[in-house]
Amino acid sequence: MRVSTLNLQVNAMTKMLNVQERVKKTIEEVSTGKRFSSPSDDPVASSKGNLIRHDNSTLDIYQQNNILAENFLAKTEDTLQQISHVLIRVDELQKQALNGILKESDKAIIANEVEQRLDELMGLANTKDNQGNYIFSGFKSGTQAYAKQNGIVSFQGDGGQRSVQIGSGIYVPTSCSGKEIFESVLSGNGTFVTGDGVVDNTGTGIISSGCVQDKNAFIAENYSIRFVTNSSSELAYEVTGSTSGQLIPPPPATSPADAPTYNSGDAINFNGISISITGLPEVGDDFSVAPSFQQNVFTSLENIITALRMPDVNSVEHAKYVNEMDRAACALDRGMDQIILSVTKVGTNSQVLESQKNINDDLKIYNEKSLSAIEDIDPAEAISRLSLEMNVLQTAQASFAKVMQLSLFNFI
Amino acid sequence: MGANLFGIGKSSLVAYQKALNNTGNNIANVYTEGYNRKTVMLSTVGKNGLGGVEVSGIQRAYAANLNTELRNGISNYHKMSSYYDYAVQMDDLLGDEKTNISGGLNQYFSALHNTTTDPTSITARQVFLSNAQTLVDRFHHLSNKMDSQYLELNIELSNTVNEVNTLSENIASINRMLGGNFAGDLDLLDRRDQLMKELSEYVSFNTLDKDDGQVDIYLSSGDTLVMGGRASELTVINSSENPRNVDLAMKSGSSTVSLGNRINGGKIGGLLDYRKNFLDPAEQDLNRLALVITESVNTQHQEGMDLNDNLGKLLFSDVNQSNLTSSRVISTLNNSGSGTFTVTIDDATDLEVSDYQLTFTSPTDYQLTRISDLTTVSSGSIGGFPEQLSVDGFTLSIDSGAFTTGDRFLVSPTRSASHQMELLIHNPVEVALASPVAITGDDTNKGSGAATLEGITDIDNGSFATPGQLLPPVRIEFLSTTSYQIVNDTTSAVIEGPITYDPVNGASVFPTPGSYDPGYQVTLSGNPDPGDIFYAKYNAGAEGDARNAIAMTDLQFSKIMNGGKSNIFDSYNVLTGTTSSKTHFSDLSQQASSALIEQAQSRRDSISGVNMDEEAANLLQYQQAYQASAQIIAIANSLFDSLISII
Repeated sequence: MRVSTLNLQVNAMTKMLNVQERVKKTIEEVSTGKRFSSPSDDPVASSKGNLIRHDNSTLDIYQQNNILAENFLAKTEDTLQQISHVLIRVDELQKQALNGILKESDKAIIANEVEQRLDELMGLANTKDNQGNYIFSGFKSGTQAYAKQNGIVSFQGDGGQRSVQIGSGIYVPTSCSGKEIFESVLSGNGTFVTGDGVVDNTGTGIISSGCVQDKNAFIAENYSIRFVTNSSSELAYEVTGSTSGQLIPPPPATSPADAPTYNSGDAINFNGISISITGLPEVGDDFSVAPSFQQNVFTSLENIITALRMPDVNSVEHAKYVNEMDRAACALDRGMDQIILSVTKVGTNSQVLESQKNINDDLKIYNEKSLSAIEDIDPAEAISRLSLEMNVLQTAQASFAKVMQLSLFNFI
Repeated sequence: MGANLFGIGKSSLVAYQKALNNTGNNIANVYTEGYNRKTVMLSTVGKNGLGGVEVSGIQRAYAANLNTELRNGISNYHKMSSYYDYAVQMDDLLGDEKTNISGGLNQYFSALHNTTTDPTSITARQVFLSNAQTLVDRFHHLSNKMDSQYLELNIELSNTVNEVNTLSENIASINRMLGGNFAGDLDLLDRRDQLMKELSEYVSFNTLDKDDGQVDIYLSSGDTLVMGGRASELTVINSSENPRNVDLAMKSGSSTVSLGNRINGGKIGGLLDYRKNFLDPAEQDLNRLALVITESVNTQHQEGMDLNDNLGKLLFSDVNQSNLTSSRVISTLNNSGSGTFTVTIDDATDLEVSDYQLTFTSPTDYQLTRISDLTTVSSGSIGGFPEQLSVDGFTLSIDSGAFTTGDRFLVSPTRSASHQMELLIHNPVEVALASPVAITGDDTNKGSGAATLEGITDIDNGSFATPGQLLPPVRIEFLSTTSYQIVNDTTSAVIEGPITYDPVNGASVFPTPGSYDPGYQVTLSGNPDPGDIFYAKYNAGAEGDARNAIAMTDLQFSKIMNGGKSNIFDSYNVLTGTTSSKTHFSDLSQQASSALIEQAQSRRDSISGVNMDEEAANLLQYQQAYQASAQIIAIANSLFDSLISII
């Protein structure tokens, strides 16, 4: 084909410019480390890259939430540990106070210490986080969790539990409400609570806290265990329920004639309940078994203080004291159980945080790898490509110079 | 005989001088754009081959088809390159995390998540508001940039129209000269070819060569641009479809005829194509996203409670403000009827990326056509005002008016949504992070049952009508382990009950079997004991509650768009993915057509271009011929001398 001089020169120049452009692009790649500078250079890769970057920024949010949640939980766990130490100490004091050889003055000293511990407990329940929020007030974090009004410690917050998101669809509670920790403690053994009945007992009978023998047979109502004399003229007992009526002796047997003879420590079973009474009750004494109700830890401590300050000079009074103390101690035990449960929950949540943090870290590393594979250049490849292109450019330049020299006129 | 030799020598001298001149001219014009190499045609003079030689003509080395091919290549290249120049700007802007929506959304959600960890922190709330403002700013920034592109396109179209007019007028004037005294003038032909090549940069066209040497030029729309010595004048007019844009029109006598989008190729074709197929959908998509975000955020925020115990207000400006709803319908220019309309957004997530055209087929019959796929989405007859039709997530209401057949209105549900997006809350206290309903169990509850607030279903419910209260406060009382009743907590009147409860599967309380619905949803679970009570009250003082904030973060991943297939990030990613592909495609086409031009130019130059070596050879050749001719005269002279000397 015939070639025009202009075309020859323009073509040589265009080729040179093209190579120059490629060199420029490769230099840009090498200096930025990215395969493309504009999304339109590679729409598919840049779209993928956007998705990954968005995923990464979400993971960053999760990780940040995770750290904050960890701080909250650490504070909560720490406070709960301190609370359980206080309760353990009160438990020790209460066991000590049941020691029969203690004098009233000794018990007064113990009562004073329990009172101090109660104040300490109040202080702990009103712990604030570093933002000045009460950690056990639920959603009402600006309100003091517990306040004493007319001598009664009551909960001012609500049952709200704040949670943060630490993964796709994964929310972890970061707060524990006092309602759950301190309030939702059931008195007695958790199902029913035992104690002295309505009559001022004159014997020395002591009722155990009992246990549930058959969950399905249990009926929640108020029961009364009354001591009578049966037809054999022996000390016997009868049990009546507020709605079930006479339970022991079971009808059609009649009471008090057929009432079973009392032996100290024998199990008394009715409606799934199993309790025992020790000591020597008098005829006419009665004991109550009532369904458990919610009672906060502070009330339990106050009940211990009240019990410790009861008169205790004779065996009848001592029996009353022991019954009262047992009932309070039982509630305290359940309070401690609840604290331990809360500590466990917080610990579990911390573990969830920890494992999710690792998962998120892994995801992020994986994302970074994918992002790098999509967007980053292979430096070795890019640099060798650059030197190759520069060679081509040199050749193009040399050939351009030669082409420009080519002319028949040179020989005329 | 001698005279004859003299004559031959002379004719030959003259002929080769002309040939030398022509070669010189070729050499001189080696770098002249559009120059066609000329060749001298030699032929013998006289009879019996004894008359010498003469230049019978000078010919242009010219191939019409190669020129057409070149012009088409140029048109195509300029179409793609003008498209690409705009597209790459917009694409970079949409794709840059530092300025785009997904970057703004990332910051917005990050700040929102921060408030969930500490809802009482005024700082966290302030940061959230700042980031919400940044998101709004980004919508403004992008839509402003789009607006300025629309403006630039208008300006560039009017400028190119001026260029086209100058070129077509020049072509017509050359036509006139060729048709008159300068018939067959090769240089004029060259110049006209060059002008046509320049014209092809702006618009693609067909030519018709006529016998008289004139050429007619037809646009791809079929309209005549140059007819012999007359050139039609192009002008820009406000688009009949969207008054914001200009369209090309052709002046015909005193009237102008719109060419609409019928012009293909060249810079003009590229600009029109870009506007219609890149910028319009991108703007509509961006606006739709603004509407979806505004609507979703507002709905959730209004279901919350702020630090002052008030229900949440609108965080962003309402999508159905009265000034917006009426601005969404635009009357096209040629309408003789008129009317008042409103367009209200019913569900932004159902909106399509398109505008609509409302056409009146009679004074009362109308049809609504979706422009993106030209589907008639609704049609009917106005029975009385207001006439309302709901399609694709919006309701068009024709409130009044008198129409004539052929009236057309542009219905643009997404119009200026990004512009109108504003942050309305500036006081961090008013950010509604808490939930207005508190569900609490009674202190004396013995069972293991639990009641949880699932969410607010209708904040406009009468329950929330009184500020700072939930009326009536409600309690759920368990009558047995398997039944409960709903009680008004103020009056203790039983609202409904007993209702059966299944301890295994739990229960969703509202709406009740008897259809009592207080506007929120509560679920029961576990094993409550008879007598257990749960209260639903106003959540006053719950400054540590971030449940609504968490609900607001759900927008991040809820697949609410495109029929439940994508979330807002996916949707934005689709937008940028589409613009990137279009940009990429136009870049590839630009490169390809650039290569095609190169080839077409090479082919054209191989016929018409000057080759210096060839000309050098010609020069030598003609020089030798010239010298030889001179020798003929010398010989003739010496022959004559010889004769004289004999005498």
